[in-house]
Amino acid sequence: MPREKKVTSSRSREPERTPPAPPPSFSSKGKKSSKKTSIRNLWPGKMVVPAEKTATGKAYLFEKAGSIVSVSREDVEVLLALVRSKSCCGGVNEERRLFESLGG
Amino acid sequence: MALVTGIPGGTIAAGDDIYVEGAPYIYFQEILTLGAGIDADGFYWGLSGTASEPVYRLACYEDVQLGSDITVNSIRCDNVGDKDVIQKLNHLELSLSLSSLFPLTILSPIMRASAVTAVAGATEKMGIGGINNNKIYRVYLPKVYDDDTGDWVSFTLHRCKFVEAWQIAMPSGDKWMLTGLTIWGLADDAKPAAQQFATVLRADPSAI
Repeated sequence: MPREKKVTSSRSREPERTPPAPPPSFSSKGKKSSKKTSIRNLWPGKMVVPAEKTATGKAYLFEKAGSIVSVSREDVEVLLALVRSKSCCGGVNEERRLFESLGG
Repeated sequence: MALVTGIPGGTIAAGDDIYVEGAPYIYFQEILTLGAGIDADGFYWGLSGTASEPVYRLACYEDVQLGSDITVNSIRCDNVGDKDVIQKLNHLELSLSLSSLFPLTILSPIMRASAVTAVAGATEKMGIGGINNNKIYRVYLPKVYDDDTGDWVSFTLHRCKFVEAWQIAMPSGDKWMLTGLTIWGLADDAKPAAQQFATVLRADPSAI
């Protein structure tokens, strides 16, 4: 009768593995997308968009003419709607947008 | 009709019966990174702006004048008088009075004031401090003299500075007026000698 082998664990103990992180949970309500869009300043100088003007309550600073800033998608429409209504030289109702969207 | 006195023989180049009325449009741009536009004939003219280097356009102004500042020294021979003259063009001079003073981003270079900070939907803020002597501009003055055909003439001043003291008149019953607005067209030695100060362009297919 073969000897019953006593099985002892001779293998070195494997290090404890940390359990994988659970996948991020997305709530169906309340949590907003963090996607951003690049917006370029068309105003010929430094432009501050105060928090009370934006949908998200964030303020934006465009340091100089042509500056590009990433803004929240929720604020894009608001910024693109900002115009200079009294700009000369092109017609009574011609508008001058302060910003343009670069997408992305 | 033949003149009683006769006319010179040979080739005669007569002037056009074309008379230009009114001030040109006035555009200017700070020279930063954009180079001057050159056409196929080697002439530098016009302006082209970008979002970061915009072209500014003046809205309402009066009494526009363009002239030259020249040093003239005669060659005098006391036995006969002035036999010759030596001239040197120092600079061109564009002067006008401006009644449209806003936005401040356009007024700032004219008054040699500080950079402007705008708050959307609210305010513009500008300081008047020391003069930054490092700001150089190009100036473009196009004028359409025939609205039917679109014939036009333009002056492009290659290297300019706003000079002279400004005043803002604030009369009762009348608009504010910024006077003393003077732009010197300086020598740009990066341009060909013949265009060192400015380039004049005329487009008139029916007459040229």
